[in-house]
Amino acid sequence: MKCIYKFFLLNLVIIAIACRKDSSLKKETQDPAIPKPVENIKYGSVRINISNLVGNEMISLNDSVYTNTNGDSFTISKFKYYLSNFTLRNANGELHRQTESYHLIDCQKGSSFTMLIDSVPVGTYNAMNFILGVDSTRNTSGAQIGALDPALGMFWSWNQGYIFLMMEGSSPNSTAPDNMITYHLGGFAQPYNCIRNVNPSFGALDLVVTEKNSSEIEISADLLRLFDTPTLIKFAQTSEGMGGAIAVTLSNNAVNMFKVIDIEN
Amino acid sequence: MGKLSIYIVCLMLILTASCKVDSKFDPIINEDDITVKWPDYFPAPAYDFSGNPITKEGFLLGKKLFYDPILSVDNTISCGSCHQQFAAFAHADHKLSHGIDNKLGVRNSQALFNMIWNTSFFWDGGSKHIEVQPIGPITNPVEMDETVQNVVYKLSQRADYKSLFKAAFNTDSITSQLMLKAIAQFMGAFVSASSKYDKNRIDPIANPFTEDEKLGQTIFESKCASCHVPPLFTDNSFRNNGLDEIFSDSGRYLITNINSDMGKFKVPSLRNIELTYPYMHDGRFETLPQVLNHYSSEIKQSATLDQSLTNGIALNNTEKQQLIAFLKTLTDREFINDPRFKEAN
Repeated sequence: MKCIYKFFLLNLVIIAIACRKDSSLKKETQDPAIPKPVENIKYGSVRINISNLVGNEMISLNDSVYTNTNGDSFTISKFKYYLSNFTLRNANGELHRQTESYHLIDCQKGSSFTMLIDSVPVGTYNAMNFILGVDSTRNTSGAQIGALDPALGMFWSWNQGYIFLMMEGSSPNSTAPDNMITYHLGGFAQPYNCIRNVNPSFGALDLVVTEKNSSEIEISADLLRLFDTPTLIKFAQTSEGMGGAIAVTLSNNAVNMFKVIDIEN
Repeated sequence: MGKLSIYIVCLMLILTASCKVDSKFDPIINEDDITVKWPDYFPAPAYDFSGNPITKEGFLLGKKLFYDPILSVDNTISCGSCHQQFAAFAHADHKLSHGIDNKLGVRNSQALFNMIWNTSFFWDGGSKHIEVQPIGPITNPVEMDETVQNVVYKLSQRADYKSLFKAAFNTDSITSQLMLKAIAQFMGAFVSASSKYDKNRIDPIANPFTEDEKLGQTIFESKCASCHVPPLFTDNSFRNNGLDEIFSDSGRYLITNINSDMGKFKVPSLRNIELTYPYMHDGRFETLPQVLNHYSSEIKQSATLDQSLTNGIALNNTEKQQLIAFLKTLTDREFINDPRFKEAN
């Protein structure tokens, strides 16, 4: 009998622990910063348009010859990157986080330059944040779909995880075979974590979200910054980077590619 | 008292039904039962199928994919080519496995079982999740040399796969995600827990160890179990076990780029070790005595050598024999003959 009671008590303890775990989990996922979906709150959507540039020019793959800040000429055959976890912040500091916010911008695919943040509570927003790359959770959560489908070729098969940014091309300054320049930025483990937060400033502009869904944020992504801000890249010395220390340096540069150039309400 | 007993029984039912731990782990195999079961002395698995509920249809689709060379670029190599059930899904008698065009890989094909307890995959831990792990061999130029995109395309051209995906996932669209989830359902079901060791552990009186096996177990527990931790016989860590002074394969370093990981490889499970020869990441040892001789007298010093091996492992010849007797109790004949995992004729 004593034994049974002991077992009974043990069960109660297990259940109590399980229940406690559950409620604390719920707390964590319910971020107080996110406005709760209340019926009288109105929602709108925001369109984000990305212009992929080299300096002031729209990127043109393969044919156009560009010059980096070091004076090395180069062409671009591939330029694609992940932007994820878009967040908008209003004047009161409240955050709107887009769920399932994963976008692969690919210069070969014009349709990828436009993204939609939906279910945004109407109001005025003055800051945004996104990740260049894919958060570590999604790098280790198994088979994904949509923008994160490994069939899209942005997934490393031998050191598994997403390639956050892929830039390939050629430069006469490169000493690699066929004068290739190849940069695959990725990796989410320290000390070579390439996930970067990007907070391009709205400046004096405000984003006004209304139910008309008419607001748009124009963002430019200037590839030249990948090779000069803050670290100057010389193709003769650095023609390749696949994860590791070079990828970290390039990721620190890549953050500076992004600027908000206009907001239309 | 009556009410209390009913309550306790109900509680026990709730607790046991929510997980598949089976205190009376019954190794008798019912071919129609694809429930993944394990004994109560196994830890909680790293992969619990919660995001990929295992179904008979999903399991059978995964099995078809596992044994189908359609996953390779010229439709000649399947997962099963280098992971053979009779060898506990390792590649018997192959130091390095050969893939497309008979190209040799650089590493010894690993055995596949108890994968849902693995916290990483490959000798260097380059994969962190059972679902995406197959992308490694599918795309490796010396293994299947295919692209994920093209596998999905080839599958979507096949009427039989269309109906199998429909049956498993109730969709007309074949995606890489569903293909990988199906393979995970099949491979994830590979549980090896019916060896003599397990039977002895559950009922030592009905399944006694021989004197040598007993003595071998004692040696194992004092000299091997710190890395090859029972009941899985691995601690999932990466270690340099003194094979080389200079590394032709940098191992874990290739994944982390951290100097202290140079020459480290995954500690493999020792379950089914009798069947998974040759041994080590490059398959350099053919026999268990060679492996034990390495640990007792051939350890090579290097900066990242595991501390526990600095002076080797002291073992005399009798101890080596006893140790091998114990290691052979880890052979799971029921697993390697399990009809659920056999290639369909």
